[in-house]
This record gives sequence, structure tokens and C-alpha cells, in this order.
Amino acid sequence: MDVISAFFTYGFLQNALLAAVLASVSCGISGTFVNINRITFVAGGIAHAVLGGVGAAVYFGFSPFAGAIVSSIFFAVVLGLVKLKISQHEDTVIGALWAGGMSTGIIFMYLTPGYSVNITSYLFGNILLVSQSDLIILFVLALITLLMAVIFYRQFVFVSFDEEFARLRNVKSTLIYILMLSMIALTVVILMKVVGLVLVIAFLSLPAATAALFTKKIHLIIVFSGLLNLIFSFMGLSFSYLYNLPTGATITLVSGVVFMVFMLWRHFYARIFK
Amino acid sequence: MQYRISLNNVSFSYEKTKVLENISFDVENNDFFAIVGPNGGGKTTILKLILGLIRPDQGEVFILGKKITQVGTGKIGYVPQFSHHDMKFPISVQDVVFQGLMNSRSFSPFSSLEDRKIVDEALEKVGLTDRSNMRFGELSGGLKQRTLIARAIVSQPEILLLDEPVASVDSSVERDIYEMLREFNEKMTILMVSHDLGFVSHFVNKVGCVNRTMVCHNTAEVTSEDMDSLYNRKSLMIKHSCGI
Repeated sequence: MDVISAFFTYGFLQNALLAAVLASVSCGISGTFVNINRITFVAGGIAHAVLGGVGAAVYFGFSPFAGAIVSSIFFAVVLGLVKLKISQHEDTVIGALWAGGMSTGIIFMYLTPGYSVNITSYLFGNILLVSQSDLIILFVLALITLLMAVIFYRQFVFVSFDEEFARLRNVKSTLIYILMLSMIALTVVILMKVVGLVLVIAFLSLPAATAALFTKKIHLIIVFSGLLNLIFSFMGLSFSYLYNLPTGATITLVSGVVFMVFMLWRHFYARIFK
Repeated sequence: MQYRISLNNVSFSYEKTKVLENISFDVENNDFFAIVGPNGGGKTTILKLILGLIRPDQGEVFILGKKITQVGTGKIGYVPQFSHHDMKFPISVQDVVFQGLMNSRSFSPFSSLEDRKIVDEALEKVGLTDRSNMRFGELSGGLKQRTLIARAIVSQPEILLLDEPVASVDSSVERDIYEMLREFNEKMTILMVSHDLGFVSHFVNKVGCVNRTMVCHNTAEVTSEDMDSLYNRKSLMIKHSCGI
């Protein structure tokens, strides 16, 4: 059966595609802010530390989603404060939180009695297992990130460009910065379902970086990277269906390859024709 | 008479390093005041104290007769050094200038027609009308500086503070920028810091020399002897009369 008719036939593929559409909306927005702020490392820290919250939720019998949401916001606040208030060894502190959160998650999952937690599904995603109820949560999260971006767009850009001047204009720049990281954190939770926590950072940064090669306008980077996310997800889903490959990794590999191709093309195009 | 800016025995340290010690000076209405001194002498720290971004360890800072209690009063326009910005940041000249009108309640992703008019006027004042859609990072140093000046004056502040406005621009651009500031000086008080005196002495009416402590002057006439003493810490102990 070819890919297109498979998408029409199988409910799980339709759910996966819907999840990818929702993820693309949030990812286009959050990825762009990660890109213009050059905070891939901070976003990576949040993404990996979230496993701590997932592990704790599993251990104490809560929904892993709830654990992921709470811990992602928690780490967004902590890492935001670290980034803004600690000028020395900031990267070491972020690295410690990154690894610390992740280790906590692994230990909690190991300790969870009588329940063999499939840790790989959080680390590498399971978009093919997205249920109807997952989709509702993903929809709500995507809607929240979209609303945050619409309401705070200018303030996010302002604080990203010149945090000090924003403070002089009475903008609560620490709060705005943390809100921006929280938006990125909620996107991480969505992406946990799509590509998994380990691959979040690639999926968050690569499409925006690819889009930024072609336009210098922030709102266009958001739109283009959202579209690229969707295209990469669809391609990844198709390849993984056709060749029976792990979906999250395939999607991420597609975005990585496309980014590299465009980078090289830009590099050599500039050399040959200019 | 009420001073625009007034520093009263201000001291400030970063961690354990004393950056400023007993600094006192007053800026009067429509002054064009330059603070000169070597790099690391505490010039930028003075600006941050005036802006309220940092608090003095000792002494007081007054703006328009009021002691500073918070940041962001909107009375001061500030021009930071453009080299502190990310040159790859995707933002247009007019969007940078628009930031000068923003506040904590700017929630709309679109700017109003009225705001756009005000931004256009500010761009015209600095001669950037035809470059309003260019990306900030693509501009030359002098034009970046003009953009940041437009951002500072767009809210029509009473006081304009500039941090090294002519650092890394060539001398003809330097002159243009000073000419422009002289025009603005008719309507607003200007305080700028600079690491060398250069052209600026032709444009300012007061100079203060800072290297941890302050050596003050009434007029723009700074003798080479004074500059020597400023750049040589030992001779800083010599008492100068501060008669501003």
C-alpha cells in the first residue's frame, strides 16, 4: 500500500499527522525564538530535564503528561533565572540541571515497582501511538503557545534583542523572558510525543535555522519553520512507514539532512555566483 | 534651581573592586555634558546609576530633582553602544525605533497608525527615512548609531544619555552625529560618555573627567595637562576644584 492511501486508511497515521500539525504550530514559534536568542543550550536543558518530571509522575502514579508539563515550566523558570541572573559559570549550571533532571527521571523509572516503564518512548517519542485523548492535550498546549506568541510577540522580540533597554521602557523583562521560556517548555512537552525528549532540540532548532537562511523577518521565520516542521514530519512519517524505521529519529534525521543541504547550497552558491 | 541630573557623593563597587568613589556633579537644563575617561574608568557605570539599572553603594542620584527609586520612568532616552547587539538579529530599523515607544502593556503584534507616524518622524530626524525597512545588523556603524539615537528620542525624553556614541565610526561620521546632537540639545539635556575628547570638545559646554574619582571642569576647555593627570592614576590625587 502506498503512503498516501495508508494515511487515509489507518487511524493511527491520521492521529500522528494531526499531532505533527499541532506540533508544527508551536515548534515554528518556539523554534524561532530559540534561534534568534541563540539559546539552544537552554532549550536543550529544559527538554532533557523534563524527564525528571515524567519519572516522578510515573513513580507517584500521576499522568506522565502532567509531570512533563509541571516540570517543564519549573525548569523554564529556574533556567530563565540562571540565564539572566548568573553571569559566571552559567553554562555549567545549565549543564548540571540538564543532567540532574534527566538522571532523576531515570532513577524514578527504575524504582517504579511492578511497572516496566518504557523509557524509550519518552526519550525517542511514539507519535504512532498518539491517542485521541493525547491529541486533545496536544491541541490545548498548542493553543496556549499560539496565544502566548500572539499576545507577547513584540515583548518577546524586544527582550530578545535588548533586555536592558526593555527594562528601561518599564517592560518586566525577567518575567517576559521566563514566559518565553515557558512557551518553549510547553512546546517541548508536545514534541516529547512527536520526536522524544532526546531529539527535541534538533527538531526545535533545525527548521527555524533552515528558515532563517532564507528570510530575515521574524514573523516569516515563524511561518516558514512551522511549514518546514510539517513537511519534515510528513516526510519522516512516510519514510518510517515505508522502511519500518523508528519515527522520531527518522523525522529528526530528515530535518538534519535538509538543513545541511541548504547550508551547503548557500555556502557554495555564495562562492560560485557572488 | 532644579538640576536635570545630580550625583551626590556616589560610590559604587563591582564585587570588591571599587569602580567609582565620591562622584558628585550636576547637569543643568540644556547642558551638553561629556564625561571623559579611560576604558574601565567607570563611565558606563555612571550611566547605569543614572538610569537606575544599578544602585549606588553610597550617595544619591537625583533625576529632575527626584531621587531614583525605580527603573523605567520614561524621562530619559538612552543610547547604548551598538556593538552590544547581536548583528545577526532579524529586526528592521523601524522595529528597533518602535521599541522606544513600547511599555509593559504593548500587547498588540501590530503597531497603530499613530505610533508609525511618530516612528517615521524620529527616523526623519536622524536621516534614516529611506532605510527604515533595512535590517539593523546590515547598517554601517554610524547608521546603527543613528537608529539607536532615534529609538532613544522617539519618546521625546527630557534627558538624552549616550554611551560612547562615536566609538568605532570614522571622523566625518563622528562630526555628523555631534552636529545632530547639537540640534537635539536645543530641546533636551544631553549627557554622553566618551573615552577620548577628540571632536567632542567643540560641541559640549561641560566636561567631567572620570577615572574612579572625578575631576570636574566648568568649560569645554580641557588642557593637555588635565588629560595627562586623568590617564595617570598617581597624579589623580592632585586636588582639582569642582566648580560646576
